[in-house]
Amino acid sequence: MNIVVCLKAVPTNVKDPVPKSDGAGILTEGDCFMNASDDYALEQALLLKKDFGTRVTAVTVGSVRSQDILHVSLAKGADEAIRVDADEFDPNIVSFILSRALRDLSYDLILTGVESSDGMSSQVGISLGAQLGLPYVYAVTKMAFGNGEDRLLVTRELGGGRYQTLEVDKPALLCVQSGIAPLTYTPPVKLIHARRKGVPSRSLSDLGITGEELARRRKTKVIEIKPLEKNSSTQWLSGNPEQLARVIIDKISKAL
Amino acid sequence: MEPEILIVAEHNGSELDPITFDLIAWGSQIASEKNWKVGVLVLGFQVNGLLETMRRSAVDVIFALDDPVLQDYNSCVYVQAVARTLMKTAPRLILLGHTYLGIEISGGLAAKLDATLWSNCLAIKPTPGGFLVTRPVSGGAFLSTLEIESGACNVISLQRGSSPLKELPIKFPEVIGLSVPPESDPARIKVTGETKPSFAEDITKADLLVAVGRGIGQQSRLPPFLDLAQALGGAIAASRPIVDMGWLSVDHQVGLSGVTVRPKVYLACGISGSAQHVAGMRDSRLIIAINEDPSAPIFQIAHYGIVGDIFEIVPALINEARRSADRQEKSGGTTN
Ligand SMILES: Cc1cc2nc3c(=O)[nH]c(=O)nc-3n(C[C@H](O)[C@H](O)[C@H](O)COP(=O)(O)OP(=O)(O)OC[C@H]3O[C@@H](n4cnc5c(N)ncnc54)[C@H](O)[C@@H]3O)c2cc1C
Ligand SMILES: Nc1ncnc2c1ncn2[C@@H]1O[C@H](COP(=O)(O)O)[C@@H](O)[C@H]1O
Repeated sequence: MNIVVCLKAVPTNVKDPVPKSDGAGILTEGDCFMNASDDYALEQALLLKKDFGTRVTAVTVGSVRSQDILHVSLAKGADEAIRVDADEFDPNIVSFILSRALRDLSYDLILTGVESSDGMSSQVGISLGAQLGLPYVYAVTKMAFGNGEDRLLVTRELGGGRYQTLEVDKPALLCVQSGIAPLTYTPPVKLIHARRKGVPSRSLSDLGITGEELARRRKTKVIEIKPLEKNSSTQWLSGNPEQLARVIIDKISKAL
Repeated sequence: MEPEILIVAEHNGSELDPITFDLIAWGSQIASEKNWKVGVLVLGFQVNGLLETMRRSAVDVIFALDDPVLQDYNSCVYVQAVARTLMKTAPRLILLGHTYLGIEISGGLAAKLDATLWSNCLAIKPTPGGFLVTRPVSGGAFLSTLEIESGACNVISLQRGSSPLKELPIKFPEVIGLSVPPESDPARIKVTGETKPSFAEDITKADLLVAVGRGIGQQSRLPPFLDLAQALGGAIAASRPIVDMGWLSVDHQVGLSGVTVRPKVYLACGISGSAQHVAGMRDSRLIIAINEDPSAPIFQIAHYGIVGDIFEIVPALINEARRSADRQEKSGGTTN
């Protein structure tokens, strides 16, 4: 059995994001880490590997800046990692590229996270599943195999504490919600080893995606990014910790 | 009638989910600018009562798809059903809620139509060549404006509460019943049940909540916040990551996928204020937020904001809370 996990490297502590000059994305600086819910998707895949001997392949679409999350995935126990070398931001394009990258892989199950912290679209997973013609489920909090290993038994969130239980045919795409399994520690020695070995990258032309095809799909331009406007009715409190504590406790006592 | 804008309604069988009014408001606004018509699609089983409540909706037409196969929500069945309606209506723009259902249906539809989809939007403005949308990026501390070229059909999903209008005009839309032919291939997803967890502790009853987020960094740094909650006579609450990591049980989770709370005081410590968290606490009477990042979205809804390190402030807060409790006890003692 094969599982593909889609992982995204996301920048942390973003200070001043700006649109790229051609509008095709966002420029950010700083280190990239594995997106939070993707980390859980990977953990879930590795749990299935432990129980069923599943083969786990990690895939990301990103620039060289994103390759370290693949080193992490290998150090944690993924069998293979592939980086598609493309610095794309539009979820319509990213899901298309992933669908092409996955066309050459065999899989029984594709796992993604629920939402990336930078793109915030909750879209790439479902769009990928739909483009591959698979059944898809968003916000999965539990999964197991039923009826031998034929069907997937899935619990998913519906919000407000409601959950739905489903039986899903394989192959399927599941967007894994954070918290599905405890996160495990990444042994530094394995990480050093994975970094030394490196991960292979594939270009868009390796996937048979031409420049024209990509240009045809580019329907969106980022024209502006600005910080949230400060809410003028928020009152700012300042002072040393003791002064602040007195003011805060006073406000609280009056409100109770 | 073939409306250019089609809205997919959300409801619980008897009542419209308020997000549907947000969508109708955006639909009417765009329609008046473009001189378009707006339709709303209501899918479900036994939706007659619901249709009755929608008699004066601010749309031109209501498409009702009432079928037993639509009783439980199932993405396979729902996406197919909406796609079949589209063969009859051919809209230019489809609007959905950025919700659990909307996320699945919009992604499925966009793939079927080979349409550009933008989700989680806060605003839409039609332009001669397409649409401008505003949506959050980078953890919600920034807003991006995107220019989308119009295709044969565009799909856009909108956040809850994003309505540009306070009041919707009254209209008397035509109601058109549609029928879904039974599934040809058996759905690859089968709904086997729905559950609601029972919570051991009910934080919705507390007058004061000390809520902790990922900013606390480590599980070992949780105790001072428990002490603070106790000193203030309140309860401890948390954002999702704290529960995901197993530091507090799920009954403490506030937000979209947790509980909705409305305490007299909500003290948010090291919480960024994601839309999913805020959905569960925005109606708290007094919101005080402490965060070291002045651009954190939590400050958008906080009545009082403190930019600083929680670990410097919390010990002082505990001291002050205990002192204040002592004072109250003493004054209580003398007056009695
Ligand atoms: C479908 C779905 C449902 C979800 N449901 C929920 C839900 O019900 N509830 C929920 O909470 N989330 C939910 N989420 C997750 C949500 O998107 C956010 O990821 C989450 O709310 C972030 O939690 P946080 O604010 O604690 O962490 P972060 O966003 O990481 O924020 C941590 C904050 O702490 C601050 N900080 C760090 N150190 C310090 C310090 N020493 N002093 C002061 N400040 C500090 C940082 O500046 C930062 O703003 C859901 C997500 C999805 C996709
Ligand atoms: N560039 C990418 N490479 C691999 N997976 C991705 C990428 N972007 C998004 N994903 C996956 O899609 C999920 C949803 O992302 P988003 O639609 O950006 O919110 C993420 O949690 C990832 O699992």
